[in-house]
Amino acid sequence: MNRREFGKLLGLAGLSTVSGLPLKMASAAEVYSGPFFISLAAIGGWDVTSFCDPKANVAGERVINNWAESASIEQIGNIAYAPVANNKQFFERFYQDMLVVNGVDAQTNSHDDGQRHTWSGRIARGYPSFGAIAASALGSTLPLGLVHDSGYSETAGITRFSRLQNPEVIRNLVNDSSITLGNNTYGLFEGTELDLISQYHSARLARQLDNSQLLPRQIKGLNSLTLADSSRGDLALFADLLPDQFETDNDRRAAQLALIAYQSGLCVSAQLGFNGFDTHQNHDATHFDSLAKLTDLISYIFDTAEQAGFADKIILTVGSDFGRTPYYNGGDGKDHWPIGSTLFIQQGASWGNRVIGATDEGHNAIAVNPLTLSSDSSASGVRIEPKHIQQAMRQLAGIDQSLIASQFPLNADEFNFFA
Amino acid sequence: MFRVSKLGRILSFHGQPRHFSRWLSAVFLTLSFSAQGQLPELSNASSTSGLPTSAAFFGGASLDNGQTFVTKVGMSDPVDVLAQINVQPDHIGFVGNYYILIILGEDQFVRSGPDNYVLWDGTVEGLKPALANKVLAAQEALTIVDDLPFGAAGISNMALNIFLAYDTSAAPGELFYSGTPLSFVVGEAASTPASQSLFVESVSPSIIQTKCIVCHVSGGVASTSGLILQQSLQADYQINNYNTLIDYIANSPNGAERLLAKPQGLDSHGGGVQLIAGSNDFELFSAFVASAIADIEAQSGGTIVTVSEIFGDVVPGSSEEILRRAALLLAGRLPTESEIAAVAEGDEAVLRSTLRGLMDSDGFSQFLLESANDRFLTEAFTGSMFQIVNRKYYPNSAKYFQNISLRQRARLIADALAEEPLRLMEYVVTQERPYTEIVTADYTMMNPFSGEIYNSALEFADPDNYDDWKPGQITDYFRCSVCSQINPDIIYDIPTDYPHAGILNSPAFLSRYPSTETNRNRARARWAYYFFLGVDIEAISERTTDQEALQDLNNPTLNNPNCVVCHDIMDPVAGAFQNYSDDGFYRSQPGGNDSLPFSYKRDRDGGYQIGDTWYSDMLMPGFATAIAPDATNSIQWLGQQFTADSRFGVGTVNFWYPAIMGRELYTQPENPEDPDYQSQLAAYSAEQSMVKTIAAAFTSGSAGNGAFNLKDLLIDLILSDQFKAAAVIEQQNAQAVELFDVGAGRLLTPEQLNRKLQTVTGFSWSYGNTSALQEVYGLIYGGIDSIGITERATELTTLMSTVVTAMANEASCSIVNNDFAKPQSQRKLFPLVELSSLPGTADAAIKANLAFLHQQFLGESLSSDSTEITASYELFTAVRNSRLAAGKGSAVSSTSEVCIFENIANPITQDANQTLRSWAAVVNYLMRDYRFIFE
Repeated sequence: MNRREFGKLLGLAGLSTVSGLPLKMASAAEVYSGPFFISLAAIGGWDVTSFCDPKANVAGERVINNWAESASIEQIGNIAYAPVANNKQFFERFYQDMLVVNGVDAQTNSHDDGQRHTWSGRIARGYPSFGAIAASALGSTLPLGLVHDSGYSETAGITRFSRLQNPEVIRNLVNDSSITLGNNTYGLFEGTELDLISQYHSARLARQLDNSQLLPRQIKGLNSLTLADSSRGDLALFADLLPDQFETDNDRRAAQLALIAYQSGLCVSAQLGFNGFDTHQNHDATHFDSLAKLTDLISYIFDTAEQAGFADKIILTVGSDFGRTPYYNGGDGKDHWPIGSTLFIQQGASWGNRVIGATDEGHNAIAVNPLTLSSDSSASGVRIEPKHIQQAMRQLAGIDQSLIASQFPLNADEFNFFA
Repeated sequence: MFRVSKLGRILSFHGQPRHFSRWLSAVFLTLSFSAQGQLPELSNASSTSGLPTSAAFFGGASLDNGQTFVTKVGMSDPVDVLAQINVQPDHIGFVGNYYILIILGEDQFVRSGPDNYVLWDGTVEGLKPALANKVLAAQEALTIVDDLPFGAAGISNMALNIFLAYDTSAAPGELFYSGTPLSFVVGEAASTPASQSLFVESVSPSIIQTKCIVCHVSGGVASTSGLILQQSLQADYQINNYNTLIDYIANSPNGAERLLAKPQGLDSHGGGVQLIAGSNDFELFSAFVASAIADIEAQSGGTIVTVSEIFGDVVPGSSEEILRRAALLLAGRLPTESEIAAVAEGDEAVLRSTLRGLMDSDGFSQFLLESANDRFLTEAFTGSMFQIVNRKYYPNSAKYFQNISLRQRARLIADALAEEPLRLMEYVVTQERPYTEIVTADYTMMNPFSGEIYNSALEFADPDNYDDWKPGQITDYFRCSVCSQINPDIIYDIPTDYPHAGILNSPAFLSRYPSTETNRNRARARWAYYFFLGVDIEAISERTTDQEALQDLNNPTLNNPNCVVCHDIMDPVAGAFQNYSDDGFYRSQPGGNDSLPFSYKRDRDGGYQIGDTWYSDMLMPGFATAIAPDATNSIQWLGQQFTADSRFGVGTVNFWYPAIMGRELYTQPENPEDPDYQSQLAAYSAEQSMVKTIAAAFTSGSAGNGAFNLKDLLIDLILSDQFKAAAVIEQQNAQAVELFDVGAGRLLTPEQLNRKLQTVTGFSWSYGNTSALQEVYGLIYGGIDSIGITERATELTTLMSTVVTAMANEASCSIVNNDFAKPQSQRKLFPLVELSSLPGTADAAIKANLAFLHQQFLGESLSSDSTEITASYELFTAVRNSRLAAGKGSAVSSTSEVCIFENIANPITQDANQTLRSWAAVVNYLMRDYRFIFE
């Protein structure tokens, strides 16, 4: 029997023009249609002094940015930015939909700790990402509730994340009871027999779960199989939306598939990101390339969602492990620096065109008053940390009081970033 | 500037003169001796500037004239106190002074001249030399006390701490000293708790008074922590501090655990990392806490519960069940009948030997290769020869460069190069060579393909036999005599005696963990620590870091405490990799003498001097405080240091733990405020206890097969509570956390599920020669590609479950067809029935075969009248009845129900009784079962 079709799936070569997402939303009974939370990680520690917290050089001090020797900080609306990479196009396009939080203190110069702190709100191990909490609170039964591509992946057992590599294979798998040969599709079992198999399988699964002597690991495995059985059919909603062509760039394809997962009504949140920001040497050229790629990817996400009609549903958070030193090392690189920034973007957001938090001319964090959100050097001032960002995100998503979120308290001062 | 802050902290002094100075002057005698035994080295040799020193200090108290050395002496024992100073080699022949500083109770004395001791005021100026203006020899032996009974001077229950130091005109303004004192206690052992002696002798001077005291004092940063200690200026500070710690251990919630967690930077310790797990100081502190617990329990008659007994209610699997899981895991097959019979009747020794027998198989080699790659990830380079070698350094590879006609062989060469470190691992383990060889082997593994590149003289019977691996050395590597970036006439002609150090300098390993000009091999050091010693340097750094602390221009990795916490550990090992370029090539620079980047060499301010092989502004190549003696072989030396390190055993357990258990070791819980902190801690502690026990057995070779025998280690892991657990009598809330991820029920990887499918059914689910599970759906099913996806999924997602259902739907009919097509005696699945065996007339045979299927697929031993067999029988008959009712024809395969015959030799095409398809439904049902995809 010729199975050449499967051979094709291994290659995925020769892809041509990529089409946008279809103009339809899934229509299953219990699909998710709330906000789509995308966490986008600039992995390695980004240099926000060449991005959303631009720094000029100070006479007599070490050079913070080479570009500042010949160029000035630019501004659009209330948001200042550095005149490098594709920043101009990016900020001009998104400034009205953008909240910039500067002076975020990751309190570490270790990558693992920084990623954990930034995306979970706690530097210690064990807390899930915001995306995991959102997926659990808002879509615990969805088969693709949390899509993960890169970056912090801790779920703390409250949900499972799905990887969406090789979409052609996914399409084939979703149709697991038939095979395609040439132009024909053949069944593998009669439908009535598959129903019987499923019926007996479910009954046995129930008997297995009814055992009072199961180990926690066994309960977890049986539960995952139960959930999979109950939601496997929903994957057709995702498969039906898969286009004929996919993006060839890995990061764009990851974003494309996450957007389709959301569009299918099966996904609440996605963790995306890519490396390229840990520029200990030859900083400017390498880092600016990564910044351009980052902003282009953000534009791609909104362009693609716009075409499909749900761009206003996206709440995008952009962050990194930490920042980079406000000076160059001997290799023209920049090393690790605990102070960074976070960006939020939502189309038409009432909280757009704003900057909260600040750093001084040497990129040291300045404390902020949680009530007024203004710089505050008094005892009332608080240095913004990832826990404040995470707490605000939970509030924005309306899940800060959820049972799941309450299991992972952040004990953070309340900053009303999104007022 | 002459800095004494560190030494001053160690020896801070605010006492009043006592009569001891006169007494000391009277009894401390000669300043030379002939050592007969091995003097203990006093660790942490230091300099007042903070720069590293190769000086070494030795000293000890002896009751047998230097034959052996003790840490406790009786009041009436005649004691010798002997010392030796090995000055830094470049100080030999220069004039210098030797110093002896003695801490006795609250007083501190400095020896001034040959027979005079005076109180020291803690200042540089107050330092008086014991021997002045000496021409420094390589070694200076000192007898500080000769046959002295300390009780005669009224000394009892006191510790003596003696620091040694010297200065020299070769390094003006510097003082070189023993960071750790020569310590011993004078007292009556019977009346002093062991923990108190340990505290006074070692813990107080080297840890409490140098680290904790900085914050944990009244009015200090940690004054609200509940643990307030006294500085040495206060009367009876040692006994008071000891009592404080005893009270904390005995009465504070989780006192012992917190006392160990905090200084590691865990448990929200405001002071960050003070003691690094595995360090000598941490081991000392751990020993003190353990000793304190024992003393408290002895005095109270009670028990301090530090770790709950988490396996008390756990039911371990039977020997047969353990054997099945181990056989599938280690050998990729089901156990044989004889193996099952042996363990069913035998004791643990029989089980052990049977498990060992599983390791004599190709399946075990596959287990080793896969498991090792899950760690090293060198298969990322499969198919990419020139990501590992270079056609200039390795001229035998040149003909494959961009040569399409040789593409097929080039790919196999690439595969072999990528597998090389994994094959070394496999060779060492299967040949039962000491596991230490993975970092010390003076060879590596080659097959005809990699041998062609590395060692063309190595002979193979068949040049195309990929599976013929043998030890060999890299001989065809050439360094460049002319390789300037601006000179087109490059010449790579310097032959190389490649200094093999096992995996440490395997080309594939070095390429997989590359470096940069600013990283300077630190990533390699990080991974070497992680893979071989189980030390995660990134985790050590887990702490809060103030941005101001990073505003440091004075070589922060060498001097800034925020950086030094990791770099002190990492940088010497990074230096030990000094001979390897960023891309992993040995001594890659012109002339073939070093691998230092051109940018560093040309930097006039960089500190480079001709002949250097390492950066002058980094710690010297070495390991811990030891310095690599020879730049040419520092990586080989490092391998020896690793294997001699006490952490090597634990590191090996850490390395192999996921392969056996299906997950990483637990990390230590950090926040006592977490609601299940106690249970997490219990699980962690139990696991760590197991790890240490197995590591100790591994390093000692207690199983009788020699030290460092990995097979024994793997068997110990399989026989651990964590692996054997099969059920819990009645799960309590706490046990949901304590037993969170132990025992039976790990999700099989795509490779493991594929092997299980093949061994159970005799059938391979594949598309042509392409394995469906491993190659087509491997990534979807939670596998890795060793590049972007490097962590395996351990939980089943809905998307992953489609692979299982696709497998069941596609392969079940083929499996049944393939089996029934064979004579009954050769069948794997249907030895008790024929397709003509029908319900109603052959029920007993059908049910017996169903029980057999449950055993084979799911490992269930069930009677024919059990609930599960009854259910399976009902499914069988329900499907058959459905087909009969539908009037299905006899054709096995049709457009609505294709039975794929692709890999079946003589497929059955007719099924008049509708039993083949009914059995296919049952097999489908079993293949999607929890017990088939989890094990």
